[in-house]
Amino acid sequence: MLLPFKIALRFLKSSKGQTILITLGIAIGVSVQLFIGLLIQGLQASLVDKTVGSTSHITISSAETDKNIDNYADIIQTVSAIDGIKVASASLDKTAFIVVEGAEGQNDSSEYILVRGLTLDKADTIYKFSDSFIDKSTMNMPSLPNEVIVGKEFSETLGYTVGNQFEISIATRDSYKTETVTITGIFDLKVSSLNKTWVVSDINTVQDLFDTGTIASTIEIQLLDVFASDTILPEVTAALPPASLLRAVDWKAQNESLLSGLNGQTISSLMIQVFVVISVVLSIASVLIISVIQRQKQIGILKAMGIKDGMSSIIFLTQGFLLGLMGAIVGLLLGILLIVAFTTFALNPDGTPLIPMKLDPGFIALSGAIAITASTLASLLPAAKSKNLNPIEVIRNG
Amino acid sequence: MDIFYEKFSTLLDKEDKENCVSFIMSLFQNASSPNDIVNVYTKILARALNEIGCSIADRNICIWKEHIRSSIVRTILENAYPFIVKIRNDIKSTNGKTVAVICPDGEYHEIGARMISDFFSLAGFESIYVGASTPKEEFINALNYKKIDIFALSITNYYNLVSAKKTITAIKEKAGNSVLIAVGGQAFNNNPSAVSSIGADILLHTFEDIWNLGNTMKEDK
Amino acid sequence: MDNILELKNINKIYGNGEFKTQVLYDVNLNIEKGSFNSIIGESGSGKSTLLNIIGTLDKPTSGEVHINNIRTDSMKRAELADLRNQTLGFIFQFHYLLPEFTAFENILIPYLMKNSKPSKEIVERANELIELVGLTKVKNNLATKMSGGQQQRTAIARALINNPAIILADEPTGNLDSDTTEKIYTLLRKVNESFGTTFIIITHDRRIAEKADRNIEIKDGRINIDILR
Repeated sequence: MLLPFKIALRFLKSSKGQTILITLGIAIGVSVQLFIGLLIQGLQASLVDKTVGSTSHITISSAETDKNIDNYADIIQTVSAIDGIKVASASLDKTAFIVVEGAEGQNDSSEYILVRGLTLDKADTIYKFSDSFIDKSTMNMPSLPNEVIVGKEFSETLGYTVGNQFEISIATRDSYKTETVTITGIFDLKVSSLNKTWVVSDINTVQDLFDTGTIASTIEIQLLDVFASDTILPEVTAALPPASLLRAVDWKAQNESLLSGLNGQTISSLMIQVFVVISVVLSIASVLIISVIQRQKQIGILKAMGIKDGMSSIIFLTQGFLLGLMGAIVGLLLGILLIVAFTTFALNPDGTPLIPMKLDPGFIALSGAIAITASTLASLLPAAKSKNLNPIEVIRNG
Repeated sequence: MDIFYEKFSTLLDKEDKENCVSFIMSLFQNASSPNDIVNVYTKILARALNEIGCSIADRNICIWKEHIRSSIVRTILENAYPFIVKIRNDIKSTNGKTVAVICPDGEYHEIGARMISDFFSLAGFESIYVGASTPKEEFINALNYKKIDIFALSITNYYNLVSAKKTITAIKEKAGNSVLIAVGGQAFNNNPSAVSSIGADILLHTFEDIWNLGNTMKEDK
Repeated sequence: MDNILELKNINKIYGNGEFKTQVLYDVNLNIEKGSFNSIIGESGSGKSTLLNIIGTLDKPTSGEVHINNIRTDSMKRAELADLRNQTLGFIFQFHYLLPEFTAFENILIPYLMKNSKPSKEIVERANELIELVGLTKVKNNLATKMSGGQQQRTAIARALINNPAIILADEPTGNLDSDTTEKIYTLLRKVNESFGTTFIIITHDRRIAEKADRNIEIKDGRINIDILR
């Protein structure tokens, strides 16, 4: 039964102006929907990345205050095997002081610092220290004992630079000592409190400095997909040694306000997309209803000649489908062009895109599918009108 | 009669108007009774018009030829009138009834009607031949200035039964049952029931029918 | 001769309540197979309603319609569509061709309602019909690129494509000049004689009516006169 398709195609062809206008209407709807969808996706991805991209997504620590993790190497080995985990790194965080010489006539003062001992090669994946060195050519990650890297504000306040040594005062359980460390790099994590207080070194160095033995205070895990933490967290918890007093916490628990912000954004983006789709649906429906009225005579005579009601409605469903298809193709191309243009021309001062957007093929396909489905659904009303048209009305009224 | 018919049809086929007319006039001169005239009408003139076909060679000028033949016959009919009057006066006085012979709107076959009109004369009526395709309003108005006892409708094309019915309805509306509606013609051959369905009172088929009607109406008087 | 169509006590009333208008009153009519019939009557006499009831496009308020001895007034919509497609051919005053299609394509449409692709035979038949109606030269023209007479002849060929038993025509020559009317009549007669198709034609045109085998005059919703040639 190719006839309804043939008729639908001819109807569209014969009223070219109408067809082009409605296709453009759908196309613009689709491109806006695609653009908004991907823009919000990109915006959220970059926001999440900025907020939690350089932090631990799941953190394992002792459930009791001031307790440490003894067998951290084993645990890291176990959890690293879980799917979706990018990296797991041990961390031993200790507080210490440095003595700052006062200006002339003033007393010396002491500054609080956080000494972070990390499995450096792994932790660099999380914190991206080496990427954030203020001068990559002269700076290195610590490789020898007692080598450290410090933050930008820290170095500026104290006037230190690479190669300088400084003393840190450490209070261990029962004594007080001073150790000298060497700066091999200065990082800028774009968060001034971190830049000011973090002194980062290898975990072994910190274990030695603080005389703690092989322990870690936390194990930090970064995931391939931050939003997968919901499913991975239970797996991590299950992998912890049974009777241990360890617990795992994910980033969401610490970022509730961010999450609700993201949720709000997702909903408003969805709302916009839904309304765009609705307006597309309404415009197709209204154009096709007009088309049914315009073609009443033809439909009437087709019915007089014996076309079945079903076939006469397929004519309009097909038109809706074809309009949706053409609109989707043009609209997706337009949307992609818009996104490429946006990411190419709307830039930050440093040349990175203002909002990094990814051409997510799944989302693009979904947009297209929604447009086609919506258009076909929009033609249900005109199709019903065509189905119910009684030939006698056309014939009696000439 | 057959011999006369052969002769006339040969002349008519040749479209020899002069000899056609003089031949029939000679027959009329010898006529002594109404039937002699009627026989010339029905067995020669009408038969010739009905039977002379159209040869294949002439098929593109059929209507042309038919019209010429009709025109010759019409000339004959015009010239027959003095003989009609003479014979009627010889055998029968008029019965005082007036008949209007008409063809309804759309009916152009008038030769039959003309013959019928002469038949009515022969049967003792005062016969008025009105003509082909006369609009029905004309008859109605005629009723105002002349007393008419019979309307005789001659219908050849069956389609004109439709307009005949309209005409009859109009006459009856105006004159009620005081006029007699007589009908006749080829249109009734396949539609015997149409006589009553178009509202006519009587179907007249032959001269005998008219003659008998003349007698009946005379008795009525 | 067999009757191809029988109407029994057809009444048609439009509207309801106080605004009822009765258009047809107890119409009884039989039509012989293969006959050429004309329906005449003034505007508003009910003749078009009668034709539409015969054509199953309209339903009688009461009474029975039998086509080929099958009762149609109680059929379902889908069955009626089939019947119209296979048994009836329609020709209207406004020819209602699909302007988006060529003459040839228009002619094939009734066939394509039941078959997905035109067979070789049907293409041949379509071409024969085009030849018959004298449209060979313009067969690939869009419907809108033809004269009124050509469009009407296309509509006639379209009505014939499924070889229907009955052709129903409502003023087929209503807006054509007299020469074209004569040609259309000759064409319809030719179809009637060569395919044995029954014709029921509403016409105002005496040139067609007086040549029909039978004339049925409808007046005020009743058969006023029913005469044979």
